[in-house]
Amino acid sequence: MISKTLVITNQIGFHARPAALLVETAKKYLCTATISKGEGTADMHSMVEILRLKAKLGDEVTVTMDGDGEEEAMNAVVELIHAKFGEE
Amino acid sequence: MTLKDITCNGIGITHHIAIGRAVVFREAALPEFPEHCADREAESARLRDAIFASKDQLALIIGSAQAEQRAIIESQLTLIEDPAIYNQAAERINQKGFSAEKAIYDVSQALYEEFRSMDDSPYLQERAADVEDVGRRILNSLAGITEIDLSSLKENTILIGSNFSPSQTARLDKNKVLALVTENGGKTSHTAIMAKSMGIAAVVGCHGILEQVQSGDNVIVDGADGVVIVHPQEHTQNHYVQKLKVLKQAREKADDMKFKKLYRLDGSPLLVAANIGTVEDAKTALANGADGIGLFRTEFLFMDRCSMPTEEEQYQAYYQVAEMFGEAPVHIRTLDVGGDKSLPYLEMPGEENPYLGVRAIRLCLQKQELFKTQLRAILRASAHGNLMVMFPMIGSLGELRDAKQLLAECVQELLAQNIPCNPQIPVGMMVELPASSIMADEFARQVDFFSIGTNDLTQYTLAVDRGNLDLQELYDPLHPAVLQLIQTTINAAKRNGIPCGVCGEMAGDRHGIERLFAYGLNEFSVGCGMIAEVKDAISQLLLRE
Repeated sequence: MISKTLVITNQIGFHARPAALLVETAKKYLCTATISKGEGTADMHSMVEILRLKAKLGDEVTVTMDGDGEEEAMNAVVELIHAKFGEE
Repeated sequence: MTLKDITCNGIGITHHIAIGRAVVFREAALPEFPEHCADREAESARLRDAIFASKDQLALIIGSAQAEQRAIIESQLTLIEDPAIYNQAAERINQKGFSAEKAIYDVSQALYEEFRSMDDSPYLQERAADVEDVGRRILNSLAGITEIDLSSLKENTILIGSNFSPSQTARLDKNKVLALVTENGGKTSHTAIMAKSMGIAAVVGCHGILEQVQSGDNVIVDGADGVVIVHPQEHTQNHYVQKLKVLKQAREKADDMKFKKLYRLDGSPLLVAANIGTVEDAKTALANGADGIGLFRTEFLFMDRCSMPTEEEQYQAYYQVAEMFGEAPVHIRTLDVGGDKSLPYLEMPGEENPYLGVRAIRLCLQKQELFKTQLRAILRASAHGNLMVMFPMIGSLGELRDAKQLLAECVQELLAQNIPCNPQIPVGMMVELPASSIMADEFARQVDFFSIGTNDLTQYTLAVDRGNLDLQELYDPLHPAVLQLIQTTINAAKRNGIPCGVCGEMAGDRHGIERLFAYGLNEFSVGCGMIAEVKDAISQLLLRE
């Protein structure tokens, strides 16, 4: 199991498109994937749960991967968040 | 079968008649469903199937969706497979014995409420609509309700709906749709304009039609009388079959007119040109005998997408049309958005009075990068044909000067880069504000041609919103005040030796043509489907001259 804490840098935070991209990325790997903010934890396969986190610009989130391909999955998600989900 | 014809009245758009099958485009009412199920395992399977079916539908929709709606549909695709939705619904079926409908309804409703109450995030609040939409789609799949796909209609379709948007009609197969009927919308609604350019029958503002008609019903649409008949009786049907035959013969006769060149007694040519929005329209216009393009509405190149068209993309479109028409004039109108048309990638703040706000040339002068990109594309295309550029909504000499200044800058840039263009491209303006019509003499000295946009001129002169159904009676292009402004403009053009055309609805209306002809107008520009008809009307006036 590996975990990483990141700061959200995209303007609008985890809205629908970033959430959908997280789900899409998580689905490519076999490992379980969760993302948490404060008390809340979301299954990264669920857009509803990710949206519920209400993660905004500047918030800290912790990404946790467990299982096959956890390294690759982590890299992919970190890259996505760092790239601000492709937002301008 | 009813014994009596069911008749609904509205506003007839084209003088066409159509007999066909109704395809009704509406939100179906949700059927009632049982709360519990008999077989929990089978019920879970039903839910899974419905989710898969819904997923397939969304995947199909994405293919033909307009760019700005694609993102919404993509996020709905993610939602539909969301374990938070499926697991909760499955739990309700397995543990409480609920029906699949009840389970998905409860779950989507609860999520809807949850998102709805996220007051601290308006963005997430808006997702409530997506959750509801997804729930509704799954419920529809469970009930076997299928959505109507406007991009794959059967032959002889009469499309009936509340109103149709540009992107919906843009996907219509013109070979399959015989007529358009809308419950709402007026004479100048998008549906009406679309029907004219497609040359098909249409009745708009047809109150009560959605209550009377079902998909699959036999329907007659009489565009001339503005009547829609559902389930016509045999004698009614025969009457219309006969009428259709006569009309067809008359149209064939008019078709002989389409390539005819018309001249006044003094030898001056009378042009019947076409209004187009796309390269596809230009081909139709050419085949229908258009003597040129009187109005190329460039906004269609900018709509239904999520980013600005590049200079190259625009150039390709303008160039193709210019080349297609060769020597014949092609009048390109620069971007006319704002008012009822907005672009997703352009920041356009909401306005109290959009029609009196930042639209057309006003917007372009504020977004100079966008404007210059378009001007460069037009100039580059001008090397390949008889292109003319015109600015919409000019109300002051200052705006005209600024627009011309930017055009001149673009010419200099292109020349400096050795890119071919016509530095002497004729520059004209739309006369559609009473201000520019009243001051037409001043403007005529500054431009190479006028084009009168009668739709806007009417609405701005009479202060009547042309889309407002309640004011339909007041929206009158033949109002003496409007006619006087048109006459003033035509006369000013003559005095200053510049050509003047009319490209509004009026140029395609018999009464309008008669007036315009009498005022000495020599350039009429109409929908692609009306060229022969208008040439026929003008040639009859010429006989009387």
